[in-house]
Amino acid sequence: VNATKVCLIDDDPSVQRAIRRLLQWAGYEVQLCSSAIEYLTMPQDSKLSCLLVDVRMPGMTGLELQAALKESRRDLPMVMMSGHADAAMIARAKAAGAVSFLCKPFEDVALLDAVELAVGRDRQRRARSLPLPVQSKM
Amino acid sequence: VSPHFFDSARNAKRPVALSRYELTLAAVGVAVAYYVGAQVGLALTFPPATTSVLWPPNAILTSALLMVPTRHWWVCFGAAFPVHVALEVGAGYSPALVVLLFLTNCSEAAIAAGGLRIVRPGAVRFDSLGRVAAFIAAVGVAAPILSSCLDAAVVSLLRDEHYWTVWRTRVFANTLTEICVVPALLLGGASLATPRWPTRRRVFEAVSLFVSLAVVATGVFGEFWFSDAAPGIPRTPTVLLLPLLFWAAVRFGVGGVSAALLLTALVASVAATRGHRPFSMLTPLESLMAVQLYLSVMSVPLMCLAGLLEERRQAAAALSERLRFEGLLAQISASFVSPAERTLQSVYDQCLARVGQFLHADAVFMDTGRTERSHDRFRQWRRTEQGEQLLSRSAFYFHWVQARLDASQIMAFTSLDELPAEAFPDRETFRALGLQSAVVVPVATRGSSSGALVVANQAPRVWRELDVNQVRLIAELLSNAWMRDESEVELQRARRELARVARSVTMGELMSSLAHQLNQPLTGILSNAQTACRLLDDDGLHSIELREIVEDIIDDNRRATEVIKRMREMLARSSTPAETLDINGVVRDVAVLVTSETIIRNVSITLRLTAEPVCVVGARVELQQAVLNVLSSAMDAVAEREVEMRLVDVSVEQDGQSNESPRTGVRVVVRNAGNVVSPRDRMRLVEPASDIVEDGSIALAVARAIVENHGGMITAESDPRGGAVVTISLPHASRSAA
Repeated sequence: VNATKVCLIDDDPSVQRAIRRLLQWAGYEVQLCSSAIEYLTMPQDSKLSCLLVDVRMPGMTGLELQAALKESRRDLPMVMMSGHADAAMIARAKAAGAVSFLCKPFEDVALLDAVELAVGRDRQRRARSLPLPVQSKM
Repeated sequence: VSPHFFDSARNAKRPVALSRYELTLAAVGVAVAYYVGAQVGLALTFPPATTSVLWPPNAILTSALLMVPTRHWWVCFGAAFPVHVALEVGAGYSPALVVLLFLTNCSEAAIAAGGLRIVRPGAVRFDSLGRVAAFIAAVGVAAPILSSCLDAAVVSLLRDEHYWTVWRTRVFANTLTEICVVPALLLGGASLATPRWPTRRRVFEAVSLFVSLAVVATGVFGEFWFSDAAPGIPRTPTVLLLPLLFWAAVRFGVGGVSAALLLTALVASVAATRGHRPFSMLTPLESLMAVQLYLSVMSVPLMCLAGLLEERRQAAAALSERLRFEGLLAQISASFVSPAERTLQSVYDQCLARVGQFLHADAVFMDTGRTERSHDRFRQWRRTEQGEQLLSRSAFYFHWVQARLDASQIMAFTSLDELPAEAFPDRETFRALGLQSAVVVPVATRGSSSGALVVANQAPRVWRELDVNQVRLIAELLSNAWMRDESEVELQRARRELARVARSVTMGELMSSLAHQLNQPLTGILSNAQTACRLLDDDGLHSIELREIVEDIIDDNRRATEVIKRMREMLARSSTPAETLDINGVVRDVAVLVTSETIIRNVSITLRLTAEPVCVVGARVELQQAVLNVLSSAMDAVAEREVEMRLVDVSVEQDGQSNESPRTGVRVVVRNAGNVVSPRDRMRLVEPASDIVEDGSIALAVARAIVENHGGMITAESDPRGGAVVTISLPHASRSAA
């Protein structure tokens, strides 16, 4: 009931289903989105602990989504995934704050470790920010 | 003696200077000939008259002057003088008279030779009416008349003879000797210089002519047995000589006429000195002069006739040679009409063989410049019956010749001795090849150094200007054909290479997209399989979920297999053989290939395929490439537009209805709502592909090359509704099979 909630953003239905199954097996609650736009237009869910984002997607890429979220201070710990990653892309994602970068196809252990790391990061964040009111710098 | 250089600008031969050896030879020759001639002349003198009736020395001197350059005339005069003095002083004339007579004789020779040189510069020839007329005017008329004025004055002053009698005798005698002796000597000398054995039949004809002439002349001027045989015939039936003189003119040319007249004059003179009197009512001297007059007058039309005939003969020969040459050029040109790449070299070898045979050469080499593929550009031909080994390119070393070729000089040398000392290596190379004389003509090449066409002979050969010009024309023709064919072959090679490179470039771009496509199902498979393992480990009842997982895995597997299959087809480097295929399938395959691209760029592609197959003949992979390139360009064109406008429409159309009219053409029309056709794109469809290699985007050029290879065409137009329409037109399978 009190499962950790993660959001998977990937345009490929087959990949969506496969990852969801693995994460559900590991005890996570999985929210599915098939594009970055869909996630952005979705009502904000405070229960979400981390995002699993494919880089190459129609419309808006994972990296663009990462930037947009950071801009609107809605950023969550992110795990990026890509089937055609190169060093530059990985470096860019990491610099922008991605917790992990997974190259498709990946081992289940790698995914679970990455998600666990991201969820841990989220827990730290929540622990740090909860006593303090969220301040607006605007 | 330096080689004859043909200045390619003026094509004029440099005047040749005589060597010391040749000058000595000339001097000795003049002295001997003068002595012999003078002996003949003195033997035919009628004392008490000083003047000889036939005085060959003047004609001999004239011939000598005509044979040597003007600047060497003094050698001839110098050689003749001691002979003249020795002979005439021995004959009892006073020294003053001897010297003065020598001067008048020299003046005659100088007037004759100088006059002819002024009227007709260059070597003396008797091969046209104009040349013969000029010869008669200068040598036969002007020189004897003018010099005789001086001579008669000298003789009448010193020996008190009647001026006009002396003048008249000398003019007639000299006119006849000049006309008789000079052509015979000049032509005889020329034929000695280039000895060519006449045929046996011709020798027989010449001997019969001169024997009959001697017999008839003896009859006419000596014993008068004709009059006894046929009463009523004149005492001196000179008309009987005419057929024989005509025979000489028609069959043996000016030289023949001249020799025949000389023989006749000699016979008449000898007959007269023996006391026979032609024209019996005249005094001996008068009758001889009548003979001279008769022969001199006869000589003019006969020599003109011979000159005219020679002119005609040469014109006919030149025409027939020209026709033969034109034939050769036509043959060469014809053999270069689109030969296949692999037969090109054998075509060149055949051409060189034809050229060699035409020019009667022993070897022909063609080198069209030195590049990395120089072995391709060097061809040679040698007359095979001589059993010569063909040599490799590296055996040719023409350093000196090459320097001249690079200066666009044409070289022709009769023998290796004509090459200067610094051409030592070249001479050795020619010698090693067993070649003595050659014409070397520069040939335009792509490289920095000039190539050459070399036509060579094993024996010394005098190259006519005509030969050199022919070699030059052939060289031009061959090098043009060579360069054209090379660029053709080069272009084809470039196109093929380009298509391959373009394919791999496009493939490089596609690779990431394909990798993405492949990684998606692999990711799904891996995740699903690993999850399934975990579910199985749980020992829980997950059968429904496991079934879903397995079904997903199977689907993903199919997807991956499909991707790999397409990728392999696209990567196939060698062009696949042509087959009959449905263009709808080609378009569909390409659409699948660009799916991931359309997703990323948010382009929507609409396919309008036909229900029934539309068949073309071609290589599937290549046609896929062409359609892919056009489609990629269309996607590029709309990529910058707002999302609603990112539309690409691909339709397959077919000319003619299935039953009524025959199917002629098939079209793949790619419409995009993006930009109108840019001039740059249009250019890519028009310019040869190789010209825009440096341009990164060669997709359309490659597409064009492929479609044209399939007998079709690509056109690009701006769509009136906005955007652009690129149409690939291909012949229908029923058409291309026909």
